[in-house]
Amino acid sequence: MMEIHELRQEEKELERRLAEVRSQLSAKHQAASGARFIERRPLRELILDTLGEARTPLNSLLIASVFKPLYERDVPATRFGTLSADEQRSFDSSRPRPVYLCHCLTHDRGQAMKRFWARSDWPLEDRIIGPMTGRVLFLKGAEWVIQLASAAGEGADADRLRFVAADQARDAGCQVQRGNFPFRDWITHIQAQITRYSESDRAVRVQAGSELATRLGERALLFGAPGELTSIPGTSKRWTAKSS
Amino acid sequence: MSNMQDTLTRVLARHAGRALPIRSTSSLSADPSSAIGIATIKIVTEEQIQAIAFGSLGRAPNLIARLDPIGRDVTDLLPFARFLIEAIEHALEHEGELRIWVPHGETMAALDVLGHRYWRNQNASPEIVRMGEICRILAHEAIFAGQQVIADSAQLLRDHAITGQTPIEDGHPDAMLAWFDRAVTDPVTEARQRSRFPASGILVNTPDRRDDDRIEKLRKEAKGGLTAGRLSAVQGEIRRVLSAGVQREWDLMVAARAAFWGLGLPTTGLDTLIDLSRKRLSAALMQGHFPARRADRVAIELDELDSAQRVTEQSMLEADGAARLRAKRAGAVIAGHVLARNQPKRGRHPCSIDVETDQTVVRTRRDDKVVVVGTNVSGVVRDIAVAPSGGIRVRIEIMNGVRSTATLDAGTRIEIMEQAGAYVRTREFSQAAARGVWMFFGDTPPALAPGTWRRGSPLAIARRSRRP
Amino acid sequence: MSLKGATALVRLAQNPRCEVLGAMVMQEGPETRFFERVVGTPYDREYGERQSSKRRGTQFERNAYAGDARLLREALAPMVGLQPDDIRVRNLLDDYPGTKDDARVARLRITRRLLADSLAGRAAPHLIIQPQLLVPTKPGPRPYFFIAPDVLVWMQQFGLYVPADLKSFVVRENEVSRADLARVRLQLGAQSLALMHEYDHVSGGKTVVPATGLLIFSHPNGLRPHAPRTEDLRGAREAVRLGIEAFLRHRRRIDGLRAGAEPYTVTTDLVPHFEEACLAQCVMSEWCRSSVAGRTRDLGDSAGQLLGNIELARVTGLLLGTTMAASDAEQAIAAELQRIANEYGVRAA
Repeated sequence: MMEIHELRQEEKELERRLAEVRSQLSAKHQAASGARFIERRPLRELILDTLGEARTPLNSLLIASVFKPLYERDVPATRFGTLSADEQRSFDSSRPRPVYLCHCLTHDRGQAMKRFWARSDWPLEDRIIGPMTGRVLFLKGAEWVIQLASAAGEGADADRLRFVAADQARDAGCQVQRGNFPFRDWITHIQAQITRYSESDRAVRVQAGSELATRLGERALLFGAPGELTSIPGTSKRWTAKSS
Repeated sequence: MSNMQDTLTRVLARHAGRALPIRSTSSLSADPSSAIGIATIKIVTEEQIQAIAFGSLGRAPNLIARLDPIGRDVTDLLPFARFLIEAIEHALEHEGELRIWVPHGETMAALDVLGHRYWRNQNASPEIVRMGEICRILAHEAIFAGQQVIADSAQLLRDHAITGQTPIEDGHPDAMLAWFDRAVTDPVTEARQRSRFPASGILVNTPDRRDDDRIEKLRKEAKGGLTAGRLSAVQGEIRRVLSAGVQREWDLMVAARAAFWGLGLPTTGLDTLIDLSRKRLSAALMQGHFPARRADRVAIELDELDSAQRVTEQSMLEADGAARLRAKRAGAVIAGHVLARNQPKRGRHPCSIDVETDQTVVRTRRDDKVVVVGTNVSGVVRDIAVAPSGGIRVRIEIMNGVRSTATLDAGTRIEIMEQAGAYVRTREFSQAAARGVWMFFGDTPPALAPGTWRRGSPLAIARRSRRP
Repeated sequence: MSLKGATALVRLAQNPRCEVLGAMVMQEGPETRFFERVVGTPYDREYGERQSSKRRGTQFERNAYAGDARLLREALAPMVGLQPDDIRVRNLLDDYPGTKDDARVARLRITRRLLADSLAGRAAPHLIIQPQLLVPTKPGPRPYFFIAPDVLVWMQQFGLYVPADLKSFVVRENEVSRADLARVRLQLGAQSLALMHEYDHVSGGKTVVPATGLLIFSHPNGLRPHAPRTEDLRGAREAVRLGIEAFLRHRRRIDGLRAGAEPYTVTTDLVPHFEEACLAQCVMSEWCRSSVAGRTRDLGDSAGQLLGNIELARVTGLLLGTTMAASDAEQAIAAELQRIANEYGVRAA
């Protein structure tokens, strides 16, 4: 008879295989039908796959903006909040998953930055946000979207994806003209900026990663350390003006 | 008008139940037959015009309701652009004669922003660009005191009459009109009810009539993939709401114009202002609009604005007895009689007169340039002293009109006021620009040369410099 | 929209003497609901922000914060004293999005930490987007006001943060209407006061916060930020401080009257302070106006100040000669009224 931990391992592996099969299934559907396939997989799976392709943490606003043309999915901001809560509940349950959606952590206190999403199977330093990481992550996200748009074929969704890419390019300071999509130029411009910051940013993140790994438990390393108490006037019976 | 006079006139207007005129003449000349009107509705905070009503007065206006005012396609503005260009061409053929009625100052602000957007827009058609330039020229002319081109109907009512409500309520043209309408028996209540809907060039958005939010929603819907039938219905509703909104603004303007002319104020004493306004407009329309940016150009423009203000004030005081009466009480006009005439050779220089007044407040000072109201006589104040009678005696050296017997003879009753300085220092400021004077164009003041300084306070030095 | 945060403080600063305003600030729920409960009928005039304005404001903020706040970095670089690419940015909505109280508390915690980091010389962002601050009042209902500037900008000149607010209304030739400017200055004043409190919190009162704030308006086209305007906030800070003091006084009185009931229940016992400006911004203006009905203040602030808020009937009596002047001042008023009446041909009704 298998031990419990062996069964858990097997369960994890089966979950991973199931996710893989579903991903292949949707790709096959899309190729076979020729028409647009409306993606119905669970949101968490879509986001995990998206992160896997992007190979960088992504901001939920960016995710929502590409999901519309990619999967015909409107993802309201509140949905991400629910997703975060569900993922933490799932972690706390007795049914482990091979990989979790998790948040990026601040480099100094290991607290969650709830809009930045990552995968639990990435190295810790790739899930940390240092003083300049926000810039780097925006640039990497922009680069990824532009590459997606560049590879997209024709059709209404490809058009929408191009406009999302143009917005990202404009935000990155690229020259953007109506109807013109010089993807290669945009990527070159953005990569030059990434190069400017990436080395020093990585050094900060690696150092922070090794410190946080010694301080925080597994759960906190995925979903953030709990915040300390904040004194709000009037919430304590003993509060007086002087103690605020 | 002083605050006390304003307040007491409001009390009287409240008692009388109607607006009371505060001038005896109009500051606006009679409408030419070519007078036109423009009313607009804008998107709040976007400063984008979304509807325009325009046309000749006395007829139903042309209406433009813009389905997508924020979009790049401005072909819907072409009818307005062509209308404006035609009006300007007529003005140029008639020596700058142009009169444009607008409901209130918000309309001019909206046209100015429209002008800013398109007057240098390389992507717009020539007609739209010209429209933009014309709008900028008109908005610029509107800031000159005494201009005769733009008739802001709400401001004209405020300048010529006082109502029995608070000044802030006078900011609402429809509420203000309740005080000019003899059919309204209770203007206090009527005005407060009318102020429920805005009258400032925006759509209504009250809980029972959310026109603005509705248009916002319809425009968003129109951008989604709609069937042809549904799209037509949505666009039709947008047009209907916008057209009704801008028609209301036009109707307010027409009512305010009628109320203004209904005051029956004579349009006299405005020739100088008409002339100045037409010349400014013609020059700008022919040469183009060039906003002043360089220091010398800004200085010249400030002088022009100041000069227009003075000339307007002088014209008003000369023509308007009611205004002159108020100015007299404030000491800005001296009403008195000629006590003595000192002129060794009749009809020749030198000539001075002594004028005595029983006014106890006069604001004239030595060296002020003054004119005698209603004549061509002007001079410089040389002395002011208390008269033995207890009034004030003023000695004036006559510079122009030394041959005027009627005005300068002893015993003649005259009114004296400050002469408006109409001189604009164009030449001086241009020369300063050519020399690159540090005060305008440099960052570092020049080092002062060593030397001896005059002793004494600046006031003492100035006194010593006066002509005896 | 209920009266809270900087909006409440601005209104209190503009009219500190009005007890009805104090009750509205204390009362939970929107102002229009307060009106309905006091007056007994729904509020039928326009109220709140239009969808078209919200859209523009949202779009302007979106543009300003996009690309790690690229446009803001470019606009504010001279103030920070660094090249735009070297400016560090932290957007607290990335940490904790949302407008509910738990999100505000979380952002307040982070803001306090960042202020402490900055004072201690640790690497802190130069721009903090959507920080959260707090102004405490003394114990009682509404014990604090949450204040949220759009940005805190670290200014090289002071070595400290100053508040900056983004305003999406159009500015031409760098001119803003006086009424708009007065209101936004008071808003900045409230933010500066809140920042003073937070700096006190982290530094034990050792930091002198400059009375400076920044306003960032938008260009007419494209919603790009205009060059920032630096505002002197000494007057605004003091006005807001006086407004808070007034609110504390009103709160004490209202608490004494209401004995645990909701604040709106005692509105008829409160003393309003009706001013002309109320007509442009307060839902209760017509209700409060009834306190000056038939008096000279009903004709405006100037009339009330000059004539002393006497009854209009008395003034009319002076005009008609049916009321004896009780002082030299009233005699002068009577004479002037009669002169003006003769001039305009106004006679007794």
